[in-house]
Amino acid sequence: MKKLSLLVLCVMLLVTVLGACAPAAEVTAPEETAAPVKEAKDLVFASVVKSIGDTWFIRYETGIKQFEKDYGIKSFMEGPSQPDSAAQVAVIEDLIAQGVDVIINVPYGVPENEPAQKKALDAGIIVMGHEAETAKEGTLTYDVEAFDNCSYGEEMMRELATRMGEEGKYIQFVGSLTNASHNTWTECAKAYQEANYPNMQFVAKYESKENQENAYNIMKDALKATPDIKGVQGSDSGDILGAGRAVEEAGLADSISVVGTGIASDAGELLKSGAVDLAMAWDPGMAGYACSVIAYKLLQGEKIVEGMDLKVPGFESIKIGKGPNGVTVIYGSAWIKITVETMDQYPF
Amino acid sequence: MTNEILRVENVSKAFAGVKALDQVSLTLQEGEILCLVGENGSGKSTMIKIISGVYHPDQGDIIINGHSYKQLTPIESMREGVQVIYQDFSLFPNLSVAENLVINEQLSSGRRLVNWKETYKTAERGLEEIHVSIPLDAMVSELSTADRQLIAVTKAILAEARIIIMDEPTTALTQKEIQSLFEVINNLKAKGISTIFVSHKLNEVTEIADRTVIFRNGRKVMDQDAKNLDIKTMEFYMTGHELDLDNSQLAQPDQQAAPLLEVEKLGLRGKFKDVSFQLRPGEVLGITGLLGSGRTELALALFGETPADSGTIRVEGREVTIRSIQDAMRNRIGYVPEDRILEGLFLQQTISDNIIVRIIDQMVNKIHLIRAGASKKVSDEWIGRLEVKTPSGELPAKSLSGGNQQRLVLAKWLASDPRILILNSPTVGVDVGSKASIHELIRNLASQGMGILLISDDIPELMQTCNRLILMRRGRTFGVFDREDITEEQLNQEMVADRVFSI
Amino acid sequence: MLKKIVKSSEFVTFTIIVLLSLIIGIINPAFFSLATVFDVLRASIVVSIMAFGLLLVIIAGGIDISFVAFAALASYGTHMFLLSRGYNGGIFLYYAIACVIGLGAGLLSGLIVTRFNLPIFDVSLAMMTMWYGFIRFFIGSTKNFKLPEGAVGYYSRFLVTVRDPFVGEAGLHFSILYVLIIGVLIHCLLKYTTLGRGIFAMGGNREVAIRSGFNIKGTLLVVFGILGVLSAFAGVTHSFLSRHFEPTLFMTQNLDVIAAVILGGASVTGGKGSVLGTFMGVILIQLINRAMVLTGITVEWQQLMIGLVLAFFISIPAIRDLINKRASRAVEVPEEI
Repeated sequence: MKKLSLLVLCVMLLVTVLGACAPAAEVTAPEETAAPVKEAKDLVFASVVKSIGDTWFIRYETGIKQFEKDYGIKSFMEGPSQPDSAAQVAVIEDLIAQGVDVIINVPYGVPENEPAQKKALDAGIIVMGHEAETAKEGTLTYDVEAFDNCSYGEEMMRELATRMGEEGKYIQFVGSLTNASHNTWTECAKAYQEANYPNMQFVAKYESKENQENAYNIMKDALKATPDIKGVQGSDSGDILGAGRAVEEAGLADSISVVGTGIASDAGELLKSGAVDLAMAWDPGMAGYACSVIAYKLLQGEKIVEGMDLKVPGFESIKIGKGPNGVTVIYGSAWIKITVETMDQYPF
Repeated sequence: MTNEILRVENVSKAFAGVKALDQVSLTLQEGEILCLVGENGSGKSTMIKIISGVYHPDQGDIIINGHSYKQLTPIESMREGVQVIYQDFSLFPNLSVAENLVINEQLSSGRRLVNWKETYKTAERGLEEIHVSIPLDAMVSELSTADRQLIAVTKAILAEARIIIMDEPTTALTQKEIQSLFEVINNLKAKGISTIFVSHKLNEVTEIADRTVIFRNGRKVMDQDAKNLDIKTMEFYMTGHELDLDNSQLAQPDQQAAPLLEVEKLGLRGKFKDVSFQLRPGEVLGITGLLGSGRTELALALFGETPADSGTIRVEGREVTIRSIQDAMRNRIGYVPEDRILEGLFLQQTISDNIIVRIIDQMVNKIHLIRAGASKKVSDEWIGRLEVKTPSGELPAKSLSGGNQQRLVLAKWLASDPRILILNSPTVGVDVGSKASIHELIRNLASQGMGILLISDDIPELMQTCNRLILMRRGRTFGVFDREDITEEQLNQEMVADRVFSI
Repeated sequence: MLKKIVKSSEFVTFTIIVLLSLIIGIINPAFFSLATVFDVLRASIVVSIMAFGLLLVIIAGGIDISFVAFAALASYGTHMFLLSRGYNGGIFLYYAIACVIGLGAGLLSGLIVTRFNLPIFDVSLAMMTMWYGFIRFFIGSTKNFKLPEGAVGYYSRFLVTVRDPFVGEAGLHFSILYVLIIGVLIHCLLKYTTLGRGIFAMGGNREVAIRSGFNIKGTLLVVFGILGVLSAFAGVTHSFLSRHFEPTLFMTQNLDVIAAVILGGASVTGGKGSVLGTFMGVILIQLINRAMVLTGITVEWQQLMIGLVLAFFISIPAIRDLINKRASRAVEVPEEI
């Protein structure tokens, strides 16, 4: 997730230019005399994102537009042209004034957005959060995450184990030893392996410093230190790229399985050559869709319960938990698996 | 010697209306050693810069090798064979000896490539010319000052110098190195190369000069054959008045008075050992020896900068420990450092701030702000007493000339009113006039009851100011002499003898 | 002669390299293989080329930190331009365009430094920030993985390959030849041309260099021009080896390159340094980096080690001084006469 905010930072300047000419979302204010339960066509769902124009959020927008089409509820995305909590708060306050029914917020700075979210809740608006697991209790109706980090790590291990034939040595990469998500993924994966695949053997966890050149060099050395490596699990999106290149250049693409977080636009070539076997990610569009569905169900007076099927890919059986600061979090299993066969479906 | 190589005719040069040179003429014969002598500001440096083409004279002619110039450029000057060796020698510390020797020729030839074989050959030839051997591949940064100077001379010779100008070349050299430099100069003379030797060390001038020219206030006041020219005459021409160097003026300290300072078996590992002496009120005690004999280290130990590690120090009969400069100052010991610019002054600060810096505690009011009135009073007093030449105490210290800076350093230390004053080489780089007035000041301070330790290797200076002398060698006291019991020549021999041993 | 070699800082670097290799090799014998040599060399290619350019600046008495931005500008700019033109040819055009861009960026820095007589470091700080900003504002802000067809496979063009039953194939990438050629050229420039000696003279004593008649400004311009070209060359090489182009290329790596030059015996205050030493400095840093995986030491140790070795190198002059003083002191005061 850290990678994402980095990416967002990178686009910052470009967006400054584009932002100026980005079409402002046309919002029609809801009628003053709103009935207690509105018809679908009268509802307005607004999404507020860290920065519009970022490819990640352009993908997000396709999700809520799909929801608009499927449910007939007006949905749109707004946000600052570059990541900026203050600007984001201003957008939320504007939306409160407009009287929208639902706000889905993807906050840039979680604590900075909390007062505005609370204000929206007080105004009777349903406020959903995404990538806001650390929010305080009472500042969001629900936070929605594509998956919980531990399950994601375990899923990666299942994929890796299958490709390794459930035996042999494997190594792990993390972007940095202080990245909480990366370390949860790898720790859970390792624990899962120890419980389920006794013939597999963990060798070491390396830090790529979120630099694929480091991952490349570490992979080469790891091959020397442990020549019979059979599997690699990557965390940062550069990890599988660096390790994959090293594996490919050593002519070991067939005998070593490389699995990890990554997206098709980066890993495409290595997926084709077979050096990288599987890139895993999550689809922001599906997350936006899921948020919208949950909000709609709440408006319909439905209760959200464990195991519920949202009829959204990856959210067929949701889990409900608590975030570290008290907010209620809804988890899906919405990871996507990008292989050479499926890479064309995920153009981001 | 009838071959005139350089003639300067009626040259004048003014800066902002002040005449630096006024109708000065000068001649130089082939193979002649001409000593140019004068106090600071007498016009020596201006003359050098005119001959080397750096300054253009306001009027007058320069004739080199029969070519007459109204306005000489540096390039023309070099082409006529004039080479100046500045005090910094203009060498590259990070390049080898060979390269330093040849680099100018490399540049002026306009060649784009370096031929190392040729470089070494040329460099070797150059060093042979002056009969010295210095490893050609050594870095200049590894060489001694003396060797660097020889490299600078060789560089001048390789540039086909006919006239070599040396600006204060002996400042940083030891006695022995000065001797070998003189050999080299005489060597050049034998080859027909002329030397203009700029100095204010008159004993050196008497030793090397064929002819001596003295400048004062921008005019040439004397120009005569160096034979039969004694130091006293030169000093007269330099200062314009007879300097009173009569030794009888030296006050004798009261032999009965209790010693101010008693030092017993003082030692510092690796620096000096077993040094014992007494200093009475009103006495000037000279401490001399070659560089590295431990004289400076002894002074620094007494002042607490690098404390001694054995022996005892008693001040006015009381045993004291001096572990820091603060200890020394508490015992009213003052120290005037060796390098007047580097060690002693805050050059950017005003003259009066420099004077009061050590007694700043006495200058503050209750809320620790400096009382402007008090500080002005003290600084004006010392500017007056030491005759520091400045229009105002509010000017920065760097505006002063070298001699006046030296006085300012003295003022700074005297402002704290010490009873024991340690002076380390107080007149290095100071012209004769200022030197005499500093000597007088030292004698005055002694006569007021102060005890003075004068560290110096300037033998005439020691003879003129000290009541007693301690000679140090290799970290030990070699001898203690009453001034009456030793002559300059004897002292000189004692000092140089040591150098022969230690090599 | 031998004594001179032993005293040189290159020798110190070399000794540390040998010792470090022995230590790593003892802990993990897999280190002693041709594959290791190839890998270390492969990882040194790009850093060496940049370090050679930087070496000139450091010898001349300056420190530049903006060369990484030259590399990013030249490689990413060239790529995005050619991509938009639908270029699908080989790598040569990339080098050509990038080197021109690098030359321009280098000369601009050089002009600012010489025209306004500013400290090199200050100018480079400004230029680095400016160029990275420029790239993201005007050229693009995301990594691009689309290589022209003519350049696919460049990353595995090896001079020689060795087959290892376990490790797989290890090759010596042919771009090591670039390092060799550029290294020899820079060495000759420094050693056998008046210009090169001028760079040393300038770093040794700028005032005297001016007085002696060296064209300081011209020399600095050439130095910056070379820095720009070599950085651009390194940037393109790196991008093809790592198969993608990024706008923030090398952004945090300038200190590693500076460290390599210093480890190679160049003096931060100027006037000293050599091509061979610099190359060994690069190798040394690579080795310290490699030691991590092969010996199992952690990343914290690795940083500590680079820091210690650097501290040692920086204090070499002081240590020499101390030894000399000890020696002369012993001469001055023999314990008993």
